[in-house]
Amino acid sequence: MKEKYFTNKQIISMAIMAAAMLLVSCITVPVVLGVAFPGIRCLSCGLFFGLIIALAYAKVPKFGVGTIVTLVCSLPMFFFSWVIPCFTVAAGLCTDIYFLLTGKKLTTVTTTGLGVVLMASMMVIAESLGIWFIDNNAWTSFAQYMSEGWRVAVGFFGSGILGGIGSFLATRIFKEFKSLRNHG
Amino acid sequence: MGKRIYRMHPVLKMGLCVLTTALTFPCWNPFRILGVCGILMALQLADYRPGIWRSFLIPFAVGGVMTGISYGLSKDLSGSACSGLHFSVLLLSSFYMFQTSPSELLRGLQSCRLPDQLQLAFLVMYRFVDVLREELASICQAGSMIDRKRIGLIKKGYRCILIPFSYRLLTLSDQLSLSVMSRDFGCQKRSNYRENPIRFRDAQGFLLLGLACVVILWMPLK
Repeated sequence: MKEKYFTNKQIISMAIMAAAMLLVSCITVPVVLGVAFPGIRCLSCGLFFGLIIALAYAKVPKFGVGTIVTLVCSLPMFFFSWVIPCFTVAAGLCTDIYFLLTGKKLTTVTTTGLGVVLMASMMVIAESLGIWFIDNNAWTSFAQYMSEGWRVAVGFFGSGILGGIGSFLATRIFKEFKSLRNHG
Repeated sequence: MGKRIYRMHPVLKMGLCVLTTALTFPCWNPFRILGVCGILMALQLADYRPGIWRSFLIPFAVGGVMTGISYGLSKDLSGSACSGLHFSVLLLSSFYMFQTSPSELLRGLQSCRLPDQLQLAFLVMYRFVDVLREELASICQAGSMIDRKRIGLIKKGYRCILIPFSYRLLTLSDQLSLSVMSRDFGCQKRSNYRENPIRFRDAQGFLLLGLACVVILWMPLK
């Protein structure tokens, strides 16, 4: 019998991480929904998303984990808008590509990078898609996006830094609970 | 306890919920949106579950608060009512979708021939959002007993929330995988498995209700 790429155990781990991501976004995003600041939604949940994605990679160190976790987490968000699953999965894919480029090695630095890549790419893709969705013109969108200046920069770097802090905390947590590390 | 009059196939139920929310968002007439709310409430009543009145009350309470805030800011009653009702539709359709029990959802997804692993992931995620919410509430409650001034806000957040929550995430996934493996999920045919295909009356209900939403939202009144 052909062995599957992900075992059931790994799928369950990823689904629980996805549930945690969904729960965190359900708590944090409505709080900042009315704030008009680029990337505020990524800023609000960046720390937890960074933590959870790093835990997911530590539990299942395989290519595709980011995409599957973000896909499962964002499916119920389809209610709000089709744009949400698009940018969430795209950010998960970027994280997977980063994981592949690092040679699938999870050191403290590369794990911290997982959160940075996830949140920074999510912020950029979400804002670009959002503006494009409203404007329906890529060049105007790009110009408008760049004209936001320091606000975009704060959103971009803030999301990345918070994601990085979250992932860094995950490495610390895993060191504290070494007995829980199980790649099965 | 009430009786379940009409139970739609879980996959079509999801499709209908997405359709109603997507159709309602471009509409800015409060009476038409109220019509869609009525359809969703009737569907929830037909697919009766205990505590259904709470799932009627919450959407309208939240929608009312949002209407009040919007009216306070814009002084436009119709626009504010629409923005509140859009949120009510969203909540009503979510509550209707989440009336599906995990086993119903699993059988519905299996009948659509989705890969086993994708079904498992979706089902676990669907079931565990609520479990994790309870876990997080217990962790926060336990953390409230530790004085913030004694260890500081950041350290308290890390020691009393992040570490216990991560620990629960990891142990929950281990426990659940053990349970799934002990039941041989995906290894052989289920001994107690009833097929739940999309029936004609499900498709008929989906089409009629979708059409009703379109008519309510877009039919010219004059």
